[in-house]
Amino acid sequence: MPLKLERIKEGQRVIHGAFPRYAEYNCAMKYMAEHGFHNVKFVMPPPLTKRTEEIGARYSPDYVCTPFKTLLGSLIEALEAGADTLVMVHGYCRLGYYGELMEQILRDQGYEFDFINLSEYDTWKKRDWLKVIRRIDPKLNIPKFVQAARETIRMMEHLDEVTSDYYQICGFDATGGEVRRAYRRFLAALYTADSGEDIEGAYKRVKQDFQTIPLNKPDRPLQVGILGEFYTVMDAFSNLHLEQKLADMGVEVHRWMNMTHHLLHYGEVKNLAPKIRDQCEYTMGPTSTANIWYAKACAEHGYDGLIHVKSANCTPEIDIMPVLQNISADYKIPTLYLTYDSQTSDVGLMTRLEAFYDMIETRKRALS
Amino acid sequence: MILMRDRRPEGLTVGIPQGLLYHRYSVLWSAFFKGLGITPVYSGPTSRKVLEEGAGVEVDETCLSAKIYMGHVKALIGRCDYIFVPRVDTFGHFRDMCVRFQALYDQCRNLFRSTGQKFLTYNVDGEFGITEEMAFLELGQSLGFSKGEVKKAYAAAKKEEQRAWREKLKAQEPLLKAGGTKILLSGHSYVLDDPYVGKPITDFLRSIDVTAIRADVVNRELALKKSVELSPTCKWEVSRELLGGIALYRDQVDGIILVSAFPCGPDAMVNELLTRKLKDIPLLNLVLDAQSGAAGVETRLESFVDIIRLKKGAL
Amino acid sequence: MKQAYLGIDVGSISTKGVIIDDDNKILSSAYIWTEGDPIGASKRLLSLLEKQFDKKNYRIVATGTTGSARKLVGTIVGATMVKNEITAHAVGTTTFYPEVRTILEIGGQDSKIILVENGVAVDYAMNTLCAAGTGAFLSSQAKRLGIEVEEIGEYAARSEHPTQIAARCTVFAESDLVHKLQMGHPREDVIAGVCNAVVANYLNNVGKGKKILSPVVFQGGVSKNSGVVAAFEKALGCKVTVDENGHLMGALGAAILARKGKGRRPFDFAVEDTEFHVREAGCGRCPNNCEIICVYSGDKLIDAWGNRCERGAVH
Repeated sequence: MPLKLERIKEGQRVIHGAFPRYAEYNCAMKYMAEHGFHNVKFVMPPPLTKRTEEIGARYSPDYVCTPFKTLLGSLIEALEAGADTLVMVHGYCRLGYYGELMEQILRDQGYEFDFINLSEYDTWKKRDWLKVIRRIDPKLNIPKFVQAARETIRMMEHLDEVTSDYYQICGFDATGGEVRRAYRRFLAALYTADSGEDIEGAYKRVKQDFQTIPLNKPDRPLQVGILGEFYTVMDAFSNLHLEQKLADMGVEVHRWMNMTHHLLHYGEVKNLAPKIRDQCEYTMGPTSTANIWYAKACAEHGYDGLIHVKSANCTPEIDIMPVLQNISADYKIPTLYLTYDSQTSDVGLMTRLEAFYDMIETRKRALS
Repeated sequence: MILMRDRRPEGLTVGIPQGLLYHRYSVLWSAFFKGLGITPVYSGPTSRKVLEEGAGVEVDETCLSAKIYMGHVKALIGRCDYIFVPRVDTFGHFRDMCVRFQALYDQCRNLFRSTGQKFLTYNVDGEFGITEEMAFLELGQSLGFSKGEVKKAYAAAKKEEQRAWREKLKAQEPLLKAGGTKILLSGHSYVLDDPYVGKPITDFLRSIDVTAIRADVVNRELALKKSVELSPTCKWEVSRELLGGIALYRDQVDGIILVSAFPCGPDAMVNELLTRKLKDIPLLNLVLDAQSGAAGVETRLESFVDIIRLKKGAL
Repeated sequence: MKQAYLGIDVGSISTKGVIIDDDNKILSSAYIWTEGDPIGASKRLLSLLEKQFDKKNYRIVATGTTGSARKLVGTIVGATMVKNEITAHAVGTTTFYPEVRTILEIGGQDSKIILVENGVAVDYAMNTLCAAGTGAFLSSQAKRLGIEVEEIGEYAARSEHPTQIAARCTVFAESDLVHKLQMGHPREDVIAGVCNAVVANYLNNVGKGKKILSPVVFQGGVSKNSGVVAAFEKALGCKVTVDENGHLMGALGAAILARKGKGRRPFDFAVEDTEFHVREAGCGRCPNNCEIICVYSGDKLIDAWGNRCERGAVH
């Protein structure tokens, strides 16, 4: 963006920063990086492809969780695209150790880059995150940063809300593709947004589109709740477009798990944990409470089925499976468990999904 | 946990599954329960049957050690008033347990729901300021004991644990000074100390005259400090003890064997990092699965030792 | 002229076909190996079916396909119903066994379990990990032991002390098996061990967390193996029914689904003589490089699929 670069004084280093591909959230990262800091150019890693997975898997340990492999591949592609500074987040499960091992692997491969590993800054004190921000931009303009952060949060909230709307209606599009095109336009607008107005404008347009495009939706369509591991459940490439596939079969697809709900507005202890006291007494893992609660909530709402999504070797999601199985038995809600690794095939997924659809559809007819 | 504050239990029995953290806390737990007049009931040593029973219950994708643990739990069903399954989240900042230990208690309750078995836990969660002592206090009081009684039992048990630990450390000192081939074994105690999974390894090494040094038998505070040298952001308590043990002992041994139970989450990453970092010392990565037949493991161990001895010119 | 329905089940190992009438009576059936050529196998299958078929009195009005090559073969035969194999098996089995509660199925590469309530499938699971414990595993082990797959049951029945074999992973299992043979275990014991291992693996993976209720029907290629059937009955503690047409259940289900479906299209055995080609084209418009399957009848493109996005759309 030439406008931004002009503001950078001569001789000052421009950071070409990148964060691996994560669902459609990279538009928000780009916005934050380029509007919050005055010296950052965000390098957009190319969309995830089989190649990303392959190069990631080649350098990764065998039984690490699959997102590690995909994210590593995406970091390599970001470096190839010209990034000189990589950012890796921290997290409660193995995610918290991704950064250090990825850096080691990339350095062993001979890449040169600056690495911002947020795990290094995790001290349990929130204010220490400021150190990261200062490291990136020592001359940070704080009001500007705060404004950018606000707009970025709005962007993520809009993105999550619209995505959620999209998968609930796109299976019933009466126009043969208008809903999908409207959603695509919305995404494209977010990736190129340069101001708060751009973000709000894109949001208003798509909301209006969704309200006006004619739908062919039965009163009580098949409803399926999707839950599972934080990365794979949200990233369409990693879950082989699970939600789109279901929607295309004519299913109203629901998913609670997203950035807005789990990171921005999450009140775990206050709101969710007491609702699943019968199922578990303690927090069982980073996303366990939300997922168990959501499975139960879907069952109580009378949804027709649940799909639990996880990558191979995801310990926390493996460990809540006995709880989900009990919910499934207690509420008589069919649950499909999907484990993804880099070898999972589209054909295998289709077989399972078609069978799942047939099952819940037949069941619904038999019960009604 | 069922609360029974008003009733002081008589003749209470608590089942202790001999898997996972049992190998770390056996002295503490036994002494604590005995100190309160509770009879511990043990599940017995791991056997093929324990593993198979556990594999039949536990989710297929969990690690070998978790499957073994569920076999131990199953063996105790109906044999005691409570089965004791601790929940340990974190001991403090960068002192986490593998997330499986957060889930274990609730997992057991869900897996064995239909048996009606009651479970007992203690909950250590450093992020919320809940220390081990507080966890034991809550456990004891929930069973109807007074705060003073529980405190006393815990203090005595802790003393016994520390004494046993000092002895264990002392016993390793002469081994470090021994001549001949010395190999550092790095692995979770629930793998290395498991009579079915890990013990054959130590037995076999002894049979070929190798002195096995344990990386986890180490001054733990020092090891936590030293671990940062090998891996600055490693946050798992046990992995950090092992990292520190490796950092402290590596110059005193001829080779290192990383022993892991398939597919251990932390090991998958930490051992990969170690393999990349420890270039100047012979290293063997041994991953044990239910079916890694003894023959295969022995062949790998023997050839690893042969290479070390050939290098030293003393086969 | 009475109406008839054709069902074809094209799996990775075998290809099955049936023609039924309005009362689900089998008019014609065949079972052959796929040999990696689903189109060729389908043609051979059709000529076998044609030989038994009473063309004077019956006319095929609808066709269903299922199995992993359902789409390809469906295109070629002009299917009115293309269904996944789980649904086909459930429909086939519940038609002949309305009381069934559990369907076990082990095929060449896949294994599945289907739970049924009141004739409706309410839950199912499919193998997630690999081909261990499926038909492919059994035949490779039989080959290693130098016996025919068909003889496995006979050998297993002679065993008094089945050997413990681990079957979670094909590679591990093979080395375990070789090891056990080298240690002098009799062949029949090892074979019985393999049968037990297939069942244990199935129950621990596919059947985990599923309530297996009687009546139980077992089908798929492996159900022809009496050794595995016996192992299932022992493990489940109930009778396991194997239909003599169990291997045809997928094809039967496909035919029944075709009968129940709305689509009607007379089937012509002339497709046996038509040349079909399948070309795989790399899309090449993005690094996904999706393999697009193009099916040609002569020179005419009749269908194509495989692209993940619009970039590769053929039509």
